[in-house]
Amino acid sequence: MLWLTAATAAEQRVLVMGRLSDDPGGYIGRLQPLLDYVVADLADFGVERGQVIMARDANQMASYIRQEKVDWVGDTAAVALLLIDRSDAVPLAMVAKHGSTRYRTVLFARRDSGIANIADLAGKTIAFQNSNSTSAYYLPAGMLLDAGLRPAILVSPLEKPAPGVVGYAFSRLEANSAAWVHKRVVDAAAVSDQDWEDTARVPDSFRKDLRVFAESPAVPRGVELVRPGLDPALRDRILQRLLGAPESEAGRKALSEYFRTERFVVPDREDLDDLYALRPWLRRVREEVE
Amino acid sequence: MRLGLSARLSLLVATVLVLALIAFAWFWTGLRQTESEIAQRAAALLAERARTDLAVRATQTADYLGQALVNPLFYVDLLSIQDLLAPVQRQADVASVVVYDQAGRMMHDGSVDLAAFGEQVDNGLLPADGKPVLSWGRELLEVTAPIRLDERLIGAVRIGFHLNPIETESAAARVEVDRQLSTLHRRQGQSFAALGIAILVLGAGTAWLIARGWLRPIQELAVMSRQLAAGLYAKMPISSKRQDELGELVRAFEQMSESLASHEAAMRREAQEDSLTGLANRRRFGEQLDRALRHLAQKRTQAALVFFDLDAFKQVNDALGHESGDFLLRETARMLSKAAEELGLGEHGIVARLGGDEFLALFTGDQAEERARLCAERLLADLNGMRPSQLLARNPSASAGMAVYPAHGDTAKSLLKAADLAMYAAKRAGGGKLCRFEPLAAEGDYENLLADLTQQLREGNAAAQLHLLYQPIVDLNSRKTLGVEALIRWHHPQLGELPPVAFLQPALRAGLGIELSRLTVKMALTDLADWLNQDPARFVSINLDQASWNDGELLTRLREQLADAGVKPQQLCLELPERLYWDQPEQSQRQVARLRELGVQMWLDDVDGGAERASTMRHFRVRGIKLDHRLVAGMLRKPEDLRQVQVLIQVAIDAQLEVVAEAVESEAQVKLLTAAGCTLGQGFGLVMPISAADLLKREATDYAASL
Repeated sequence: MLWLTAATAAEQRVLVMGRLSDDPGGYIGRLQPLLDYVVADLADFGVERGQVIMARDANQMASYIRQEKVDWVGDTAAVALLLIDRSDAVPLAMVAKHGSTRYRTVLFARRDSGIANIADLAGKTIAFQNSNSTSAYYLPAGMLLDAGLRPAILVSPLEKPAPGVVGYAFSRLEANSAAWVHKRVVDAAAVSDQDWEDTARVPDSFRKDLRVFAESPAVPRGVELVRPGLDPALRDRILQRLLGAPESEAGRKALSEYFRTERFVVPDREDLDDLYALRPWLRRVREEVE
Repeated sequence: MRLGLSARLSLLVATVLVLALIAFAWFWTGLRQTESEIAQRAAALLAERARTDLAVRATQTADYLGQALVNPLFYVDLLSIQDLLAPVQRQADVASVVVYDQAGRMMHDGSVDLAAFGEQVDNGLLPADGKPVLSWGRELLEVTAPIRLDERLIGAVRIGFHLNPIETESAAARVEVDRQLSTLHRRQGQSFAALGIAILVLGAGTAWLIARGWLRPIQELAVMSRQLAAGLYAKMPISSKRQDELGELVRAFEQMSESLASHEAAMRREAQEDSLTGLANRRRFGEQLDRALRHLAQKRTQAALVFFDLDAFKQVNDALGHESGDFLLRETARMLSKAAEELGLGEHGIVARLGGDEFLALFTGDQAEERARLCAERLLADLNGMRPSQLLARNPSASAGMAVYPAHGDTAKSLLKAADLAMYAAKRAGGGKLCRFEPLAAEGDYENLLADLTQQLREGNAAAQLHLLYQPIVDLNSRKTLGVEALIRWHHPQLGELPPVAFLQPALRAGLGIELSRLTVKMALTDLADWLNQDPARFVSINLDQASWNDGELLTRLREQLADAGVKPQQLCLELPERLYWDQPEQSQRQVARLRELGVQMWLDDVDGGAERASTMRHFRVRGIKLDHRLVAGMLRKPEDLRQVQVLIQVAIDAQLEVVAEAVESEAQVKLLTAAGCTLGQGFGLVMPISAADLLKREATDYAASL
């Protein structure tokens, strides 16, 4: 495998994009179009093609970055923060959807559950997505901690938590979370507001029986990072390419494939502040929950 | 009803064909039944196979799901469960998929809504032995596979398969099989029809071939047989090249036909040919002469007829024996034929032997008379040139008479008579010469001859010129002479020894019969009185003509003559030709009775009648019969003659009549006759006719020999 900084000019041919996923087959189709779109403008850098590398978790990806095996990584805020902290990755651009670079977590339960706020979750169970998820793990877990509740992981979502504890289980997918709640497997679930609105994840037939009883503050939605040491000119060229994507048909199509991203924006101070502001949350979750 | 071969063959072929068609029909029906059963079984087998396949697929699918669903079920990963169930659900024959937990609660049914999530599944038990369980219903096959986490059962997946696709497919297969079978049947039907037609054609063809190859030749043989029976020896119209039995039959038939034809030709030849010389016989000559005269009458052509008679032939026979006589006859025939051929007989000419030592030659066409004359002269010269025998004083010679058509006669009879008279003229002139017929002279000569004879008889001087020879009648076994037959001869002062044919018939016709017989009886009794008196068993036999037989004074005269001669009546026999007896049977019978009364015995002469007459022989009251010389001569060559001789002898023996065979010429005849029971015979082969003096001498010799 070749990557740019570790190779001679003659060998600088491949731009490597990294991504955390436990479903590489499902993700590759979403990533490659944008990567190819970007690489198409990098010929003068000797870059001829783009390659996607998947990692199971943030630690693995951070290691890849440190080894310069990955040039470019995009992910949600929590993962991005971890990579910045552990591999000195550099924020390049912010993802914007529906006109916003921010999103939030919603907690919902069945309308007939009697759960009206977070505090009602004591002694109940809640579904998270997976342990890398910002909106469906770090944020809601942080919210539980903020509310003075004690989250504890369950072997099975069917398991009953100890009294006073909020039992949580990973549902792997948002759709599972919605189904669990609706089918009373768990009492509540946490998803991003974007997923909540997505009927593919929360079918209307479920939603009518469900109710959001808590929301998190807005946090950056997604961050594109590059590894430290990447040629600044190349980095700028990649950024320009990303920023200009909505202006061409090919760009818009690649953006749409990339998790229905609307466009990229250059992070300003506020964006970075909001991002870094998540650090204590993450730390507390890792320390108190995991 | 009579069935011909054709009809029987047709019946047989028809029966075979009908049986074949019945067999066909039976086979066809059986085939259809078998095929129908096969189709049913195939459909059943197909359904069974489909069920087996379904069971295997169901088990495999459920087993797979059971394993794949472990983690999703454990984690209640409903989406994964759904993803796993989706491809199964999409299968056309899958009615339902349900995943339930160990408590029998429904965890997933593949739907998005999961409306029945958590509800108790019907019969939601877990497979007891941890293996997939099949449950066959009327419309569904349900397979339930366990979902196990290690050894722990955490749930089960149940898939329901519709069975009606199998039924539908089986039915569709049945329809397809039936469709193909009906196509097959159509083809088979066509094949069978073709085969049936082929068999019919084959049968008809076989029948036709048999009819043509076998029956037709047989029918043709039948036709040929009838033609043969009718005497038509046509060439066989059918082939005889075949190698089979029919061919043999045809060839045998051909051989028979040829044999019959040649046999008939031989018979025809025999009937028309003189066996000794090979010349035409009297009969054929007569036919030829008639034909020739008819032809000559139309063409106004000349013809000449020459009549030859060997001079003193009797002396040749007597002195040198019959073989020499026959030789002379054959030589004469050869020389005559040669001369006639060289001179040319003409279109209708012919050479023939009339019998005895008489020959005829007919010349036709231009200069017929000249050729005839030359021919006669050459023959006479040839005869004269023959080497004289030691025993004969002079060379052979012949007398020839020639008559010319139409001057001397325009009918066969008149022409023959003219030639005959001319020949006699030659004979009277000393023989060895040719005389041309002189009408007036001939008549005169003949008349003179008869007048002469009449004169002699009337004057009582006949005895001087007439004399008798005696033909001994002998016992065929002992060869002893038992009696004699008197034969009349005329020794003419000018003409020499004349045979009976020269004068007897004309004399009889001239009414000299009674006188001749009277004279004969007288001479015989006078000649033989001593001889007869030596042995009362001896007899003398005298021929009677019709006039004498009918003579009212016959008995009186005989009585007187017997008395005058001093001979016992029993020793006198009269020979009456059988045909005369039958002319007036009743009168004959009365005459015979009167003669018997007198003591005179009777022989029936020239007996050649069939068994019909022979059967009445016992009523004749005669001493015996004399077998006709023609029968005796023919019995060596003709089986029918031999048969006739045997029959006559047997009938005569049965009627207690004696039998004399006339004209016995060979020992072979003697053997046959004695074997048949005949004890008496006469003829050149036994003893030649001899004079009374010789008879007495002979008796003396015999007597001496017997001592």
